Formats: sequence, structure tokens, C-alpha cells
Amino acid sequence: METREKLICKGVNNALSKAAERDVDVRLSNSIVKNITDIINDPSTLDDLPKSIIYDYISKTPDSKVYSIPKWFEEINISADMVKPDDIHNVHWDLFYDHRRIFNGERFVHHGLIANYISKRHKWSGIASRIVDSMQYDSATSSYILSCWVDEDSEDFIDHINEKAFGKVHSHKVRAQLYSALSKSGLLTKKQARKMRSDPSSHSSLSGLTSLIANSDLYPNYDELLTQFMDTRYEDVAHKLAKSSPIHMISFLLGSEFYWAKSVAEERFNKHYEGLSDE
Amino acid sequence: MSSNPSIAEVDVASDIEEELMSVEQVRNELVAIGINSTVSSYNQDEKKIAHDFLSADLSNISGVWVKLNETAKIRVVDFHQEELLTWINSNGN
Repeated sequence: METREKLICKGVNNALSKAAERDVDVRLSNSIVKNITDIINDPSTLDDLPKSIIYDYISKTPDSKVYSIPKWFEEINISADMVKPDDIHNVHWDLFYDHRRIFNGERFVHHGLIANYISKRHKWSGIASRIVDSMQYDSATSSYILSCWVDEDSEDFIDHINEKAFGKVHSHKVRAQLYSALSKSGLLTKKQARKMRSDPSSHSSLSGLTSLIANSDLYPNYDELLTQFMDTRYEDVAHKLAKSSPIHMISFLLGSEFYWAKSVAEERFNKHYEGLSDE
Repeated sequence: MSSNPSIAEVDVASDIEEELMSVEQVRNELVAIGINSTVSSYNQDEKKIAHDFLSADLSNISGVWVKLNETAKIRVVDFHQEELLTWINSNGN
């Protein structure tokens, strides 16, 4: 590689690095990412974070031809093979270090995962099932993998939830991530919502509910799903409902045994009807 | 797949076209960044890359000069002392 090319690669890695985070030149980074194939010839010289940033852009650009360029094709496949189910343990811990992959205030997932999204080389169900027990916290990586799994084979994902999450095979932290992904997928049923309500962990139950509330526009039967949580055994779940339920459903909580949730519900209820009487 | 689920939303796609730099501008800027980050490196291989570029023909440097840091500029002067002296002696002609 000639000297100028080496310096350009060095420049790309530097400009798209965490070290540049303090003073990101957005115009430069956008110009690099958008024209990357005109700027560097050999993607194997890129560091991990620049790869995540660039692959992310490629994956979001439907008409991108980058994957059909031989050197990029090869490099993206190499990255995708890093998350091959049989070998994923080699990058296991790196995958979940989302905090290492922040650029311009945004978290990026490991380049291997985005490469797999582009190349579709390995099944997400295989990837997820190998590392699901490490999905203990709400992270970009967990969310990315679970969303890809749902998109790839929602039936398989639901089967897994029924067997391993509702069957309490997974720990409560993992169940929380799975419930959150299920609600986010738009596939949550009344029966599943009821099971989330009855989960032995308030953390898991709250996680499913919070995600349902955040994704309410995906559900035409949102009120019905929310109703499944109304007789919850957990105060934090009841409080979430009191704070975020539509006002016409608040009356369900006025008789709540939880003082905190009940007072929030009453306050919202009274404010709403005071407003109506003022009109 | 219906949508890309990445949480990362760096707004690279939505930027206005005219705000992007030309490829040549980007390449020059990246060369300068590359030089600035390696010219004083303890890694001799990296340092050599910067020195190879700075000691090459001065015409290579014109596009990157303004973006070079002081150390890199001093290296350019060091590497091209004779040429610069000749130019100065000729009153810049």
C-alpha cells in the first residue's frame, strides 16, 4: 500500500474513533462514511469502531452496492464470521461492551453483528441462543440481536419465549430483555401479556410493560393488553401503569392496594376531571 | 427484514448533500490527520509513514499543508531545507 493510502487509513481510523468523540467533525465523518469506497480501497485496514460506523451506514442504505465490491464483500464476510454461532464465544465479551463503541453520542453494536445483518450469513436464532444468557441488561447489542431474530423467524423467537422465558428457564434479568423485545416486536398477545404480569420477578414484568407502553402504536388492542397488567402484584408495575396508562383506564387503579400507585392515579384522575369541569 | 434494528442512529444519511466535502477534500484532510497522529509517534513504523510522505515531493503536500500541525510543518521545512533556501535566495521566484 502506498504511503498516501496508509495515511488515509490512519486518518479514517482516527476520525471515526472514540478519541475523536470530544470534538467530532460531523461534516468530515459524514463525508467519509458516505464516500467510503472512494476513500479507501482496503477495508481490512479499518479498526473495529470505524467498521461498526461504516457497516451501520451500509446496512441502512438499501441501494448500497458496497457489499458487491469484492474487497468489501470479503471483509464484511470475515466480520460476519466473527459471530458465527460456533465461534461466537471468541468475541462474546467484546460484543456486550457497547460503551466502547460510542461515536457522536451514539452507541454502535459490534461490527460482526452488522456485517451479519448485511450478509445474512448466520442465523440469528443460532447467534441468540448461544449468548442469550448474557443478555442481562438493556443494551444496544441485546436489542439488536433480538430484533434481528424476531425479523428473521418470529415463530422461533416466540417458541423460545414460551419455553424458556415463561418456563422460567432463564434468569429474571434475561426474561426482562426477552419480554422487552417481545413487546417491541408488535407480536405480544393477551395471553403473553398476562404471563408477563404473573412473572415472579417485578423487574421482568415491568420491563415487558415498559416496552409495551413505549410501543403502544404497534397494538390496535393496546387497552386490552394493558388491562392484563392492572391487577399486578408489584408496586413498581402498578406505579408505571398509574403514570402512563391512558386516562380512561386510570379508574382500574383507583382501588389499588399500593399507596404510591393509587396516589399517582388519583392525582392524574383529579387533574383531568378538574380540567374538564373548567372547560 | 423490515427495518434495521440498530440503535445507532448517527445521522449520516440525512445530511444535506451540499454539506458533504468532496472526495479529494476528504482524502487530503485524512492524510493530514494521519500525518498529525503519527509524525511524533513512538512507533517507528508509523513515524516512518509520516516522514516518507513529508520528505517526498513538495507538490504532494500542497493540499494538506493548512491542516498539518506545527510539528509536521517543521518536519517539512527540515526535509526540504535546500529547496526552500534556494527559493528564498531567489526572492520567491
